[in-house]
Amino acid sequence: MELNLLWVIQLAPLAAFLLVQFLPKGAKKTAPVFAILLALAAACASIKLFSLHADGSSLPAQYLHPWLSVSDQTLWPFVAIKDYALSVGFLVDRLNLLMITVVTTITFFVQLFSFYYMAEDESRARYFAFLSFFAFSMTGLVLSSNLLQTFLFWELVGLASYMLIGFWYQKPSASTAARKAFVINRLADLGFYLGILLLFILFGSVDYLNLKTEALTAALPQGTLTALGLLVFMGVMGKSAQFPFHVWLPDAMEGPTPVSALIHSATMVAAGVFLLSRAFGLFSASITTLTFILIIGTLTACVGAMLATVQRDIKRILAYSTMSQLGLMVMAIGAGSAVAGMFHLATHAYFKSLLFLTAGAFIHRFHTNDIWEIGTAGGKKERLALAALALGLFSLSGIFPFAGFFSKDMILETLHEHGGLFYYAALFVSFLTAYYSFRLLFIITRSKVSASHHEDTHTHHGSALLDLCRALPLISLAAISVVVGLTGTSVFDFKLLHWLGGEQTHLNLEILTTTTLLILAAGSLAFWKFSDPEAAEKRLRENKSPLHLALERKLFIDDAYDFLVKKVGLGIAALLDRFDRAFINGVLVNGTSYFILNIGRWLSRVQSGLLQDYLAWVMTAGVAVIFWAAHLASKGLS
Amino acid sequence: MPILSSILLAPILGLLLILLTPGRFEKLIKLIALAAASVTVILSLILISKFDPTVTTWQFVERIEWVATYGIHYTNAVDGLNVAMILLTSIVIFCGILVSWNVTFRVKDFFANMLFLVAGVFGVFMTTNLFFFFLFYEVAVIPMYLLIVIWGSTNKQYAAMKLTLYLLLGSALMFAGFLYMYSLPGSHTFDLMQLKQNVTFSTDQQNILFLGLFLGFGVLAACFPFHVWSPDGHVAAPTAASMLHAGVLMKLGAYGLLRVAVYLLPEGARHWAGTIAVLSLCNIVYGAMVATQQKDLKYIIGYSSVSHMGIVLLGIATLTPVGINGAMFQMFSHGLMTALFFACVGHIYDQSHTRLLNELGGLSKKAPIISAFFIIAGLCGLGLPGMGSFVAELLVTIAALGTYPVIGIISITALLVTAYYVLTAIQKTFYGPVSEKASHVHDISAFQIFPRAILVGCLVYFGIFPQVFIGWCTVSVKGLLGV
Amino acid sequence: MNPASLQSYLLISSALFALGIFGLLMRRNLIAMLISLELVLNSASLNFVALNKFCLPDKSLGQVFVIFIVALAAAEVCIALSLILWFYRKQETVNVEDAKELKG
Repeated sequence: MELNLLWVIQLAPLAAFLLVQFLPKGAKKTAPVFAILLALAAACASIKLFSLHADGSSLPAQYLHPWLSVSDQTLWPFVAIKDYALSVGFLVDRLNLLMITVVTTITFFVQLFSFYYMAEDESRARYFAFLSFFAFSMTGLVLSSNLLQTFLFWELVGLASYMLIGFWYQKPSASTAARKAFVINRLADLGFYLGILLLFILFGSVDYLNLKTEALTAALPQGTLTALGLLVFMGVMGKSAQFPFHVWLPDAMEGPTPVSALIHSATMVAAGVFLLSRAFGLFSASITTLTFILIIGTLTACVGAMLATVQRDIKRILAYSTMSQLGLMVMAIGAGSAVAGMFHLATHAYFKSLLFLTAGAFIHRFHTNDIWEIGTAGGKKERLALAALALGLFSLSGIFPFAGFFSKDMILETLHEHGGLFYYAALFVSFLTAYYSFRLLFIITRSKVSASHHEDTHTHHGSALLDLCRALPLISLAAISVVVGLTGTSVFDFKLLHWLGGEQTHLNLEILTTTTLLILAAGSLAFWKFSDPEAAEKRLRENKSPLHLALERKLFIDDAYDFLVKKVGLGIAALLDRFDRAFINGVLVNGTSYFILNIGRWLSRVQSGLLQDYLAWVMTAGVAVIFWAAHLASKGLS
Repeated sequence: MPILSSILLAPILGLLLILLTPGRFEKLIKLIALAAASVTVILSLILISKFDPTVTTWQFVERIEWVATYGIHYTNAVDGLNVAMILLTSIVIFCGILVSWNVTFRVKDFFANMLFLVAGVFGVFMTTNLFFFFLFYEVAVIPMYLLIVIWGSTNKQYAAMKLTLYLLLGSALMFAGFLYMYSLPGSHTFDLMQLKQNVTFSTDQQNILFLGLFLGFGVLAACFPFHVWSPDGHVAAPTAASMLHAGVLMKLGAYGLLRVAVYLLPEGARHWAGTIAVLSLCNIVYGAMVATQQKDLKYIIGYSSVSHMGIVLLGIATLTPVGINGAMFQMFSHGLMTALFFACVGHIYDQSHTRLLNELGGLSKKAPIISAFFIIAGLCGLGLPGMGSFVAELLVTIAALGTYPVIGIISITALLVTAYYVLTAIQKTFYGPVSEKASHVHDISAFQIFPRAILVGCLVYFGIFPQVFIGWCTVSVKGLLGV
Repeated sequence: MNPASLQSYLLISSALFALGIFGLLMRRNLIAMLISLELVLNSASLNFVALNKFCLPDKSLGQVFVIFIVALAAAEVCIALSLILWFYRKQETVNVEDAKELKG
């Protein structure tokens, strides 16, 4: 039963991918139906699986299949391990049951919304195929039983993300963004890959069940463990857009908006955080690693939140906000609480995909990403989308009792206990978060609707089915965003945090008052600056502070990357290319051939074609032979 | 039925039939070539199904006394090292003949040369007599020259001459090595098994002989700094010849290195392993770096081949079962992958008459199927999991990290560079607005999908079930290393 | 020097040989070269006769050889002259420097 459910979850999206790929040309229109139905099947199966294990019995369960036996003998003198074998399989425990439910349900809602969003796109079939392929890879990532298998699917989700960011491949910016995302992730994955392989060589196993802190500290010295943890964390930094590998995430917004909702906010970028809690044993084996993780998370959270405050593009605001929220999750885990990180991951997945879908609704309606333009075009008249946006933003800012409040509160509490400046950094981040949330909200709601934007877009709003596909995901996700936060409290019978192995949140009055005051302050600040969006825009255009300018240049991080790739990397490559052409091919190869040709040409002068020259050579040689013979003979005589 | 000789004779028989057919029956000639290739595929599948991977001894031994006085016998045999290579060759030639179905210029000569070439390659892979090894190798080189000179493109005279001279230089070095072995006391034979049994090489002899053989085979395997023939040759050769050249011919060097040099001269191998590892690192990183600078699609693939052959050599240099299994696997999957690459580029070039990145663009719009195939090959090239190359690189890297940690770590960086140039090539060729030259391109026909789909199928199958391949060769690899 | 000694014969024959070789090397006219070649052959004949007389007085092996040489020289002159004639017809010259068509 359980194994069958797992197979359904794993293979239904793959089946959708293959079906859509091999549909005959005439039937390509039906592609979304297959994709959505199979996504629904996977979602149902994962909810069923979740309910089967709701009491937490018989977990973790593992189903393994040998994949590759690398060796059955001692390979290296410095490692005593004899059996190296890699297996693939499903590992089910509480952590990934939660994750798989999040992933499959959001996938379903996003697929449904995409039916509305992509209704007029002619390459719809390709879109749904890759969305399904992404779902397949993501479930594989979540269900995998060891690090290497995770890495396998890790790369595949990267591929799906590449394909979907570059979905409108005829736009050069889209294909460049896609390549950037893949290459930067690859850069980070080098560390991940190396870490996995070294762990495999030195420790002999990469199975999650074996990666226990005690076992690791017993087997390996502390320095090695730190190095391994940092290497694996490098992969997390790439996928979860942690500083300084975050530069791909804002550019990834070139993809269709539902893709951003699914991949670049809710699931794939959260895979890094998921991995952090998955292999927590490895990271927690070294205090240095944890501190490093905490620092990186803090930097990411701050940088992301700061960058989000100056964006005009609604998707970029959300992208930087995602980055900073991911930073918060990483901070929580770095501070030692995997449960808090995972809880925030779950709530964030729902409210952030909700936010992206509302953004998609606005963009699809008004054909612009600019929040000022959305405002003047009549953003506030989109009641449903606006309500969903507000709900999502409240949740994001952590207003009681929306979902984000509970999870963020838990992170703050963890950091508070951990001590140090990190707690204040997190408070700073939640201040900024509230600020940019309200900024976005005020600009859209308080803009004057200009007369030029009449209801010209209502024309293609005919079908009731499309309206349903638009409304249903928004409403459902909004509802879930409210409820999922409460699972962290004692309201329901089902205690999510207990189930994950943590403690239920209890209201810490000190933190509650601090955050509420901060949100109020941020809200007032935003209101003060943006209550009149037109005037604010004018003010912005006229004078910008140096900080604002630096933030608009993305703190020069992209420029640094550009310099490293274009000047340093390609410069070295150009030098090597010159070396190959000029030295190896020029001097060594062509040089040799010219040398030989020239010897031939020089020697061929002997072959003058003149009879008498030949005769002269013959005579000279004959005389020389005679003299030599005479010399030999005289030596023999004497 | 002597199955190995049948595999060898099928293309020769096809060649003779083609020679007897008048040149104007082009369809018939193509069908004969295809039939011969199909026979080799079927026979090699039968071979591999009957092959027993659990024993280290030679199997399917066929032996005919030929020049007994000089120890030259026609002997064929397989073990885990060459059984997969025979399969690879038959798949590549089968797909190559299907891909060149549109050849119109001197059809008879083209297919005759192709079959002649592949007969030579089969011969090299299955013989166990060094004299025949050399002989078959020469048989493979000459048709390659003709294929490039007559049907090639882009500076073909120069490239053909360069390739031939390089390959002959390599084979001369290796033949010198063979003759030296032949001249040693107690030897007087070219037979591999007898050489292994009867001759004991002193340390100095091992070191010198291994160096000579490595130089010879290294040239064939495009080892740095003897690699420049291979990109030039790839670029100039016609599609099917490129497929065979990069897919199979380059593997002969690495195969010979294992089969002859490592097998007979284990001490020499240990002595030179470090040098090979350093050179192979140059191949991997340097090849990838140079590939980023290329403007011509085929040159990019050419340098990527240099880089990927480096992985094969690195695997061999580790002298561990894991590394050599990985090297074997890399030979196999790289063979399939480059064949796919060239099958795609060939079509693009036929249609648009250009391979320059800045003249192409937007091909995905015009030809989605061929783009999909190219992208799949590209993804395999950058080591995406689920494809054969990933597992091969995984094994080689594991072995290298254990044996030469520094080299192993540096070699991993090539993954990043590879991703960069592959994705750049994909972006410039297939994405963006449709360019002038790309606007005339038509997609491939359903019939032409077939050979490419076979290659993709094999790549994915062995990527998902790597143990199948490893199962074939692992016991023999252990036997080879004597562990 | 004793006029009847072997040495004087050999001296004369080597002088003839040297003259012949000198002519062969220095003259560009094919006819002249042919004449020089005859001198070389004559010097060989003289050697044969002289050595026969002084070393094997009771045999006539050398003289037989000389007959051969004379016959050979006649045949050679025939062929060479005809070739030269053909060459002259083709090129209108008998200068040997013009005869290098077969040079690679």
